[in-house]
Amino acid sequence: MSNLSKNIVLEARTGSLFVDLAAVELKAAGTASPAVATTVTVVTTTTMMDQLQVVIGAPGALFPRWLDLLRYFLPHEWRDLLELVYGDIVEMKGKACPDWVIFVAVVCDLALTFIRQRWCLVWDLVRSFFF
Amino acid sequence: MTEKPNRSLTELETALLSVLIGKEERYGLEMRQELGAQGRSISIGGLYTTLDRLEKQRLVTSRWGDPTEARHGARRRYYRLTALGETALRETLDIYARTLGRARRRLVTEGA
Repeated sequence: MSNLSKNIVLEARTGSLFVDLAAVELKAAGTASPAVATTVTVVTTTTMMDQLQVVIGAPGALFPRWLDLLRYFLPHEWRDLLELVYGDIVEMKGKACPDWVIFVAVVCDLALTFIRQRWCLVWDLVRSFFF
Repeated sequence: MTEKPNRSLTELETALLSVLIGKEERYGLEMRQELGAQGRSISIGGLYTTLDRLEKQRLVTSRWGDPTEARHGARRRYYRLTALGETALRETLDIYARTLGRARRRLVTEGA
């Protein structure tokens, strides 16, 4: 069994499997960057993990590289939110929209959400202290 | 015994749950667009964090859809109003109705 197969954390989904990037050692598969394999499709799977075969860059894996990097650095609970925000922005702006515009929109939206959440916490603290 | 929600809803939560009335399931962008048509703008992240809070309180349920090409392989998340959510919405709307009714009566009797 390769390092790739050993370290992959798989989470069942309909028709495909999702790989946790943090747990993947892609160098074992000869891939330079971990950013290319957010989604993998299982071609052959048996009950034995050592017969698991994955194809990197499956048709569903259209996420740009920066999104994978963002996913990699974000806390786990923000990863689903990132996928939802990215998907909504792409759907809203259309596929012809330049990637950098989507990047800016995603980062701004997440930053705004983060600030709003933290501000609510600070405000709650101040309010409980003074009122 | 019927379960009761433990607090009244905020204005945004009320608006979000209202969008889900009478619909089987709706996804985030669809809900955001409907709120936008009502003149209410909200960030995408703000929408999902609010929906997440409502789900933790069992006022809505959600499920992931399949990855779509229109979203570059990202999935949609579909939301549905629960019975508890409907109760919370009814109670909050009752509070609004009473408050507005009182304000209207005061305006008529005591207003300039």
